[in-house]
Amino acid sequence: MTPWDDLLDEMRRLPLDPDTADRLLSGNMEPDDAPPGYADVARLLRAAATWATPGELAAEREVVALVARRMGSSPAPARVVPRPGRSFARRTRGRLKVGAVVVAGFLMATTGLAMAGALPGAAQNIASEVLQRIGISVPRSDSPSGVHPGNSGQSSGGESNAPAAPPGAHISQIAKTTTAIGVDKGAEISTAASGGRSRASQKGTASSRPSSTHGSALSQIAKTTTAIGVDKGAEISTAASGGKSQTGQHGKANGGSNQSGHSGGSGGPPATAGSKAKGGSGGTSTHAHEGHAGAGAGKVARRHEH
Amino acid sequence: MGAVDPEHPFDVVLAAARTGAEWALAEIFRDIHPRLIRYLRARDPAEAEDLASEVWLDLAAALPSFEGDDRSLRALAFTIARRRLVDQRRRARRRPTGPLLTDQASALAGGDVEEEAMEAISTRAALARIAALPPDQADVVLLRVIAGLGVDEVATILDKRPGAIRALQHRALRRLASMHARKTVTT
Repeated sequence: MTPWDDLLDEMRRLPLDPDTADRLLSGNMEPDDAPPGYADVARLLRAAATWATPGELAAEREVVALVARRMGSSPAPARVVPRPGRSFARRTRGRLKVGAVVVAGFLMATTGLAMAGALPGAAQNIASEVLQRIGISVPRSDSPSGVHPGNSGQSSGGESNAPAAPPGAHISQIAKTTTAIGVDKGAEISTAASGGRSRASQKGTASSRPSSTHGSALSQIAKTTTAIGVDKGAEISTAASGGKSQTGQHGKANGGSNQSGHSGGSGGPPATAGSKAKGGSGGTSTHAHEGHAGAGAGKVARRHEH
Repeated sequence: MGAVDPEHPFDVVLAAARTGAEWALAEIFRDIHPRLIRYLRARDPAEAEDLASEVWLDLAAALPSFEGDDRSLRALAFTIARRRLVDQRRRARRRPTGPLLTDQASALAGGDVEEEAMEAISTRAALARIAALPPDQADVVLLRVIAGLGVDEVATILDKRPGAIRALQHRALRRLASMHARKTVTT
């Protein structure tokens, strides 16, 4: 017979009903009241559940302090057992990292928009002031480049202190009310439009461009000539080209040249029309660059050359 | 075994403990800790102290939202303890078993302890005898005797049906009785 068989045999000889088992395990049975063979079991179970020893309570102060600290440092959690693997500190660090990335991204995007001048007016001004302090130059919303994105190059150039260009309405008013005519009118408008930078009035004089006929002289010719039709056109064309035009020599048979001559004569007085056109365009536009204003007189001549 | 002071009803103790009052936490400690440390020493002598600390930390996290009586709180503590033990066993399986564990187990299971007279048996020796039972039977006896829990509560903690718990406890008691009878006969 094996030891295992011995044990099973002993167990068969020690019957135990469920109620007695419950009473034994709950510690409510005295050893003397236990059924045969279970008195020692009752003693053993009572010994296991005896009162706490001082050694078992030695950690009281330490554990109570630990629990109180833990309860004071964290709000009431919903879970009984925290999720394993990720401590509170690690979760907090992770959230802080995500927050830092979001803030850094927002700052970079805002700075980029500010440098491009794409922020709304007030925000652009604030961004400009803040970034100026750390050495980054950013245009303000009320700078010229802010109004005219096409001219953004001017704001960062050396002319940042130049007077702002007058509004289009003002230029238009000058164009309507000025008593000047012809080149003078165009020069006046160009000067106003460019804030005084235009040299249209200088370039408009005949002496400034000796190789080409001045618009006012051509205009005068157009007004005073007694020629008509093709002859008038040929006369003006010759004057405009400085004698290089062959319009007058080709005669009436040359339809192409005649058309050219007519266009010069019938538009008359061409110089005035040309000046008005340039003056008008210069006055209604605030894009009055030096080159545009200065070309006001010269273009008439070039048109006649063709 | 420690118990909550009858002068302070448990709901008063619990309300104070939720606010972190140390006197209330101390009362709860005196009721739960001796039972807890005995259970853990019987199941894993080498790691009992560390496991008990972990249980208290988890209990501190659960206490503010806990609702129930002292027995329910004890059941919660042993539920946590049981989970911690299972985790610890998993970890122990992944690393080589030290000689200390083996020595302690054999010392607790038999030898001099079995030769002692049952009348003079100490708490430690009694725990060693219970720990020598098959693990599921030892768990049932320890939770019922040391933790003072009922069949249904033990069934919940061990994730078994109450009928299975009754069968296990019955077998455990007969085994303890037969082991002593055999010892008496052989001596």
